[in-house]
Amino acid sequence: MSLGEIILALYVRGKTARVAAPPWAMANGARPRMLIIIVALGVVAIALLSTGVGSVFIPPLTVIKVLLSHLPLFQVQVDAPSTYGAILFDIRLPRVALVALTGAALATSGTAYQGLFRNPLADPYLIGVAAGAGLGAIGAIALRTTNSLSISAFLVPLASFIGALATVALVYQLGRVGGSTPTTTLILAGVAVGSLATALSTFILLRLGQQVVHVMAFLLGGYSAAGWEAVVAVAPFALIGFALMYVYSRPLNLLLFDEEQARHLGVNVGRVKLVIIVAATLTTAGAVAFSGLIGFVGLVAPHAARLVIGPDHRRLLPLAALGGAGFLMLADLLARTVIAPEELPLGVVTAFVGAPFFLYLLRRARNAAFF
Amino acid sequence: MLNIEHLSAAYGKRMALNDICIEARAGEVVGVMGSNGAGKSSLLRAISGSLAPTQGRVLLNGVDLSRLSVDVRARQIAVVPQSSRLPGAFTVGEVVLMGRTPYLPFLGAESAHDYEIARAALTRTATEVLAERRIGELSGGEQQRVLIARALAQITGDTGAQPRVLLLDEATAHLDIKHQAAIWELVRQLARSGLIVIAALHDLNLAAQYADRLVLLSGGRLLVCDRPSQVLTPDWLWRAYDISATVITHPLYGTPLVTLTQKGESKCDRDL
Repeated sequence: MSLGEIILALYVRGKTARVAAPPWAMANGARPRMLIIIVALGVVAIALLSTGVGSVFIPPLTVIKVLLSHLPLFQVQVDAPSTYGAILFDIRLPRVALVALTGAALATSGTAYQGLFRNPLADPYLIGVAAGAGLGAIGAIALRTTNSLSISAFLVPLASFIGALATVALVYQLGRVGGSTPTTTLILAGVAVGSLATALSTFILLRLGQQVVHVMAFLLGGYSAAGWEAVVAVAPFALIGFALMYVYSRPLNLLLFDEEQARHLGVNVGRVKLVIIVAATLTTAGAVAFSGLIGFVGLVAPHAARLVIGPDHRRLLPLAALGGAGFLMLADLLARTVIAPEELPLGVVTAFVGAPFFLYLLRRARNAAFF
Repeated sequence: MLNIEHLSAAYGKRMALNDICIEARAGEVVGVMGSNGAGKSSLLRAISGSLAPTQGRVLLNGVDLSRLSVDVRARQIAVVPQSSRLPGAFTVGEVVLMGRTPYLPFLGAESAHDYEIARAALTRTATEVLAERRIGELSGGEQQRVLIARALAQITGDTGAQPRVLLLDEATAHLDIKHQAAIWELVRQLARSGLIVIAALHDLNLAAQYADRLVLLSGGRLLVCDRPSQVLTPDWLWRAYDISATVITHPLYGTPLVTLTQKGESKCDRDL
């Protein structure tokens, strides 16, 4: 059987196995799959541009050629300086990859928290998770005795995950009233615990001495030190978390009604909530561990995606991930170029775009349904 | 056949249901009545599995419901909630399809069969024309019809299956009289087609007109369970609601028609 025949067979099988939804079942976002593909292409374009821009500008086409020439299967002739390979692979690419992962992680965990708590303003920052993750990371940086980056590369996300999980557990317990977790108490508890974590972080910061420079850079969301170790350390957190959220995206849709209705429709509510919280916390921790506190991505990306593709998490989560990655890569591009050769902290750029959008959402919340 | 046997349930230490025994058959609408806090919602929640019984059990077609897993139970029992806060951006079609959740394999997508059943549920509730609209844009009456359609899609099983249960928790409480009547006509039709329908409701006259039997609760106890003409009497209403009522016979249907007696001549005042 030739390769063409196998591909044809797979294509036909794919066509018949999947039942096309009738038009009435998917009026929301007429062509979601097409839309996701277009946005994905856009994100790739941003990534190429972002990889090319820096102290030495490398045009996107050259970027593609250089990248391809380093892959084993492609024989591409590149008439570019040999230093380009090192610049792209050792400096630019890991940074862009880390920024993209972070953006996707913050956006997906924001989407999940908003759905789970039925609150359009929920995001990793509002419910204190990010602050807890930050405390864990800062604690790990402060406590580390060795300067070996390879050890701390894995220690920091782990500590940040533990910090985030402890925060979620505490917020969840404090926010419980009787048998349920009303959004109001949850967010109030989140703000309180988040403030506590931030205060503790500040205290550690003041006691630090020399390490303070690293921590300050971390707090403001900087990527100057980003290398492949950071990408390798963050990727498992982000990817496992994202996979878990995606697997539970259908029950998450039902939780948008309320917990009792979801249970009546056959959802194991306790388990779904636990998995979603752990997954969203994993991704948040992974993101915060290396990028510090970057606000508003978890708010802007999910809502923009929701406006375009509707509330169904099976489509919303992938689009929000792409949107978050693209948004943060653009923000990073700005952060690197606006006052070059100096860098703006990434958190400053996202806040500059995010804060007005947040206010717009607040205004809109009075008369519109978000979900 | 739904058998509720010596059912008791509690919220913490507060007793919500006390030794309730009821039988409900396929084809009939059983109305659950009583004053606020009498245990109407608790009874429905105990049947749907949201409230664990402290004593007694609920049997559906001979199977103890507390032994079933969440999704297996969801295939047997659907609940239409009181007009709740709905995630308004979903379309009617999407919401009705959600009724098929307990049948879907983990990670699986809806099959052609599921789409067919959802479509039938839309047709049955006359919500087909709304299918592409967002539920947030609909009126309260339309939203309730959509929730009934979702419930129908949920408990539509294979042909020849045992009767399934439709629970309505004051499903028409916020609707005007025209939409109330339309919903109850629909509910009665659904019952006649082989469902067991149990509905908590406040309106005595709607209950008289559309329920085949009425359960009257007071303080978590069952006062009486009988035909409307036997339950809606001044005496039972006095004991359940602490009101004094005049009951006359409906000139067209012969069902009881309940009106409140004016305060000055109420039994309550006389007793004092």
